[in-house]
Amino acid sequence: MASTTMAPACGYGNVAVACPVTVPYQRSSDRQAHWFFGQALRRLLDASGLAKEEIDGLACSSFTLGSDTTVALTEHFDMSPRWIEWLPTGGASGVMALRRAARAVQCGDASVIACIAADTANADTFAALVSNFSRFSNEAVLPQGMAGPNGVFALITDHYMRRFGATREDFGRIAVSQRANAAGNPNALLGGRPLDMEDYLSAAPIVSPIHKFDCVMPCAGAEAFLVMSAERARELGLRQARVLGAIERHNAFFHEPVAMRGGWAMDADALWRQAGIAPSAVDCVQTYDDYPVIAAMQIEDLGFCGKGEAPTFLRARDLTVPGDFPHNTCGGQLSCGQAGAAGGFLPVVEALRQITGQPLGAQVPGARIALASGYGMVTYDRCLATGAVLLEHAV
Amino acid sequence: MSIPLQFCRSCGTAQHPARDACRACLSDALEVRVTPVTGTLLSEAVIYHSLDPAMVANGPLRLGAIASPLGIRILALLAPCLSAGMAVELTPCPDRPGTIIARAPQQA
Repeated sequence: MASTTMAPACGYGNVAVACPVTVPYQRSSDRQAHWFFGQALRRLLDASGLAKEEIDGLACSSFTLGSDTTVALTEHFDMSPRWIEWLPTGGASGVMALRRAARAVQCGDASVIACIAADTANADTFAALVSNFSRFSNEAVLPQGMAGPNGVFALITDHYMRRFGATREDFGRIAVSQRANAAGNPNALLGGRPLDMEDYLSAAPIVSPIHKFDCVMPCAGAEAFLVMSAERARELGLRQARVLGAIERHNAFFHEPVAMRGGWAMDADALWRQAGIAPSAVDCVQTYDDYPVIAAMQIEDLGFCGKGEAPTFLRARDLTVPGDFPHNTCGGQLSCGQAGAAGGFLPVVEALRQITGQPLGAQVPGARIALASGYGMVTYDRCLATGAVLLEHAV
Repeated sequence: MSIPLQFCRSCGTAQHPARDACRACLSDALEVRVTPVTGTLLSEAVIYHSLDPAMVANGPLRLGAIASPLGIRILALLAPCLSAGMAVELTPCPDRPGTIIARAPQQA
């Protein structure tokens, strides 16, 4: 793969990730996205003991800020950061924010960076987003029946099933185990609704082979974390994680007529090499679960099993928190809801929660190393942006 | 049957969806030609829920992903009796701009 021809990336040294915070999800909200950013920032200050003036970097992601971006938020919150970043990359924005913030701290461009994704949601926002998501989507996807992302991912799911002999039940294992994981998470909007395989298989078709429980429920909310030096985190008495390795890749494998792998497959070897560990060392895996087939692809492409082997892998493993492959341990977006771009931060925030002992729901016993991955921006027939990060508990 | 499709005059690469610069050589010498386009239906889906409920008011629609030997990926609605693996040809939908229909190749 391409990574073997590149010089290896430098490590992330003495960078710490800390203070996983979540602004509780709501099925619908009349508030603007700016409110969710403000509440996330306030929670970061509460969690860290820092004053607002000590935050000198701000990285943000959202779909519902209207014409505003990160720089507008600095004015909303009377901040004067010396470093900002804007990540309009949805499901990949959490990993990307972390990568950029880690380098900025490592190189001294900022000392403490708040990374925040937030979105509001109501009857208007989702329709507005889907009906004008990208130029290619408007011109070449929506005229084919207005199926939205469900149409594209139904095609990817159908292709995967044909190619690798996967069944709906294989994908059901992902959805059902995540619902079990969500049971103890008060932030999971669907956590109180048990789901078994029979429920999953008998659900109404949306865009077949995608059925109701393959789809995420749009909601409002925010996810956030801080990036700073390990010394600073220690001074503040924060539980922290170090970055063992991180990758991203965009528009990978564009020659493949239907997506059956993502950019992770180009760089997974580099990720494990940078981290100096093997996949077996990971205590919990947080994938981006917009649809179960994409979670399955991440498990394959990041090296936990071979291409096309996810159905066999899923049958052999227990994906619940006490199981032998804890996956999307807070319930993921399939059970928490998809809070817009915050859904792209959820894997990073949940990974950080687990390895620093701060879960909202169940704790993976003894978790020290977590993988979080991201996948975002379906501008035509697949998502373009992919990334992954390995985090390790640090003191 | 043929559909309007954009090609690069410099290197000949087909473009879909349409570009402002050739996706291969970056030339802006692009032109739309009404061209016969064939391909293979690689996957199919059945739309029960559409963002526009009127689209499925008369029953579900079938959506397909088609790989063309022109090196382009095309999403299209499927005519009856098609299934994955079959050869198809593409036609414009007469009453819906931008809508493409995939159907079994018609004998000339």
